[in-house]
Amino acid sequence: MTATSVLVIGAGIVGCSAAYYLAPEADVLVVDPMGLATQASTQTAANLHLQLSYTALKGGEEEFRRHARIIELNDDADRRWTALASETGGRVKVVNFGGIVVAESDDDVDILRRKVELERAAGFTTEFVERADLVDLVPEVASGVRGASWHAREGYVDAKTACYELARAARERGARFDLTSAVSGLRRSGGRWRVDTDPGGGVDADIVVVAAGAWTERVLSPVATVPMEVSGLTMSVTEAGSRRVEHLVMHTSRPLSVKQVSSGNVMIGGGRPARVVRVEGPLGWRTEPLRASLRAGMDDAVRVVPGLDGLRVVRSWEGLLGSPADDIPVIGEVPGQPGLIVSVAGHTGYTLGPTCGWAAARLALGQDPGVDLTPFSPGRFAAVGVAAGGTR
Amino acid sequence: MSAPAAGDPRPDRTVDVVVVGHDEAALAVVDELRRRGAEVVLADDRQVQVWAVTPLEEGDPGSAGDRDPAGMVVDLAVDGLPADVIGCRAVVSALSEYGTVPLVPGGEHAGEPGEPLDDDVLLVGGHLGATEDALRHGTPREVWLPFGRAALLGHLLRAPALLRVGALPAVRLLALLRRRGVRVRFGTALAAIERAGDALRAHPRGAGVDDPLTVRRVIVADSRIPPSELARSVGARSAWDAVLGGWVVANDAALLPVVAAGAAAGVRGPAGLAAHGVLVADEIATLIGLDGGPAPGRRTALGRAVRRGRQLARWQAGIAGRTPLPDAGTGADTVVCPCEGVTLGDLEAIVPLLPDPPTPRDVKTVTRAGMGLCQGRRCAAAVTAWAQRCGRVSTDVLDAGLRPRLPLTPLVLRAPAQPRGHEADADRLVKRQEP
Repeated sequence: MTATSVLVIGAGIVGCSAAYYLAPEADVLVVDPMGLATQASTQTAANLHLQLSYTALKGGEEEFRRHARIIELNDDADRRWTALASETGGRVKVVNFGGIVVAESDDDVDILRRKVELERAAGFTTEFVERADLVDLVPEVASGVRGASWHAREGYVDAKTACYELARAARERGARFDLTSAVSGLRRSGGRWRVDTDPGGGVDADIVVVAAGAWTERVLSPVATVPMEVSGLTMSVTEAGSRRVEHLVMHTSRPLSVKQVSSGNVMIGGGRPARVVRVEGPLGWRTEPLRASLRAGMDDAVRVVPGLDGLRVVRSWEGLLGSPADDIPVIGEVPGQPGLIVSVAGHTGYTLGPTCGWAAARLALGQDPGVDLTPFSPGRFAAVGVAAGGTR
Repeated sequence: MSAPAAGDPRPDRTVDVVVVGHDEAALAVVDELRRRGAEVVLADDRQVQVWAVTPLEEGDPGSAGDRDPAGMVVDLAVDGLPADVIGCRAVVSALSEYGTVPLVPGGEHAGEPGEPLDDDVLLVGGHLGATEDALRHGTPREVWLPFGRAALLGHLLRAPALLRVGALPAVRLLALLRRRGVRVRFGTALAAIERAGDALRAHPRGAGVDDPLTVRRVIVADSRIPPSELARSVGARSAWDAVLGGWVVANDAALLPVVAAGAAAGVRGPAGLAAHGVLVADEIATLIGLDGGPAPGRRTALGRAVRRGRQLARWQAGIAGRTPLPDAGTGADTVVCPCEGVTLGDLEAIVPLLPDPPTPRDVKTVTRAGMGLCQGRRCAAAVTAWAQRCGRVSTDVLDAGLRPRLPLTPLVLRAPAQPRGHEADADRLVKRQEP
């Protein structure tokens, strides 16, 4: 039996940043069955999304306003990534070269104009860019693009190394990592949390932070309900080439994101589906490629950014996205379960990672996170859940 | 045949079996299956790229669900453009064992396999087929062989009587190199490579150190490109067999029916390849319900030829000194990942950043080893071995985290305005084998 004051479940971007923020002030142990950042936190395109994506507009304006509640988290995340880059002496690599969502049809132009209006009303600093101005601002997009929405602070993080750097800094601050143990049980016992691990004799902790991404629902299931939706997404990357894209380029109505990272490789993502197959084992799922997704992503990318012509795609992969069922982040203590904190962002989870980690750390220390977390409480699922039944 | 619309999951046509490759094993599989009434497509991997083998989709693409037992879809491309989408019930991977991949750290790919060579080339490694190929296309400036002259003689003498014939090509090639005036450095491996203006400067390790060579291109013919990509891409396990000196595919009943034939299954030599092809065809014929297998007597003879082919593979592995691992005691400048220019020293330097013990995946993620043009085909074993020395035990590349991924060969992005006039070519290149 291991004891700790705070146990963080999950070694992705949320878990690693929570450990980083907690370590100076508390005894922290991070557990993960697969290793450091083996799932969404390295499978992701790691875009910094600071305007809302096309998915936020799917359900009409009421739905859009619900999504717009993350603005305070977005602003916090923007500041926090910049601070992490500076605190680690640039080893956490953050690039803010500006991001653009393009419209290729008149319908999409109308949607984008409305999106920008709604975003600006909610406090976002998005701007609409007319076709005539695009040539100067983002010359790499195709002449068929009729308009775009622009956010100057968007960009990307080097997700390959970010979690490693945060984990190293957290270790230097005293945090411990167990990267071979799966959580198999969670219960309240004698005023503390008793967490069963496999292998291992379990962990006793005052506070438990569940930062398990797509696995949040499964980890919490003995004591609380946070319904998650799991989907498989497709990414591709080209060989390294000369500079061809200087911004993050996304699309109004098609799942597409294109950017060229500092090594010269162009990453193509945006959320095209992959197949998710249930399997035995600690993960419970496996992803498989869908040919149609690979090809459509490549076709969209080179149509919107013609300068990619001739580059070769050398690799594609799939990742699992776990999103809360209502698509809004879940950050907070589970009602009726003292010391059980959930932190999962879902759709733009990588962007929000450090904010989710920070907020969870502050809650674990009983301090004010400095962000209004009311809209993100796990209590909103209590009506459909079993919040009372789990304590054994 | 037409290029399918983006996102269209339907195959253009459906056959029984797709065979990828061009050697004796591939041809034997095709002949045997045709004889027994199957409809077979032979995709010649020298001209057609196989960029995806995916399960036939059932219901809504992307939904969680079972696979369609009807089989899988093979995507073929010519010059990077979609060419043909074929549905089938089984795929045979009979890919050849080496690739003539120019070695340029961190930069653009300098040429294509099969391209005519100019003379300003360094050939590194000892693979017979690759050396033969290089000599057919031009005359390299130098050839660096990892084994010493004495070791080569020793191997020739120790070769089993049955395999003496297999040693002849090696002797013949050495004679040919001498006649062409090519300098052969025995006992010399590639330690490091750097850019020197438009050229490359290659530094040797072993005999004749401090005598670097500046050339336009370096070709690696050390057999570190596994022949089993196709099988690995759909999840078949593939591991480096030190005894066999090759990548060996283990088929799993739970996987799609992708079967390795010939070199992909650790068999060498024309007789062995052809015999293995017939046996693989028989395996597939049983799978898809065809009658008329080889008679018991012939099967025994085929088995014998395959065993000799495996012996030959082992012996060739011996003379080529093929080892995927950085030798103990090698220097910090030993190149581990040629595509991204990652050295042994780079690996040691990142230790503080890695969890203890590190996995090969950790190494890849942090150093970019395995993220270059060859996608880990050349460095996966070395990275795995290094991580293993740090404490992890698995030698299985799939388990170790360097997962094979699609596309199988780099795929060119093409703007839609460009003509897609490759259908006729594709028709010519993808030979249809009607029963």
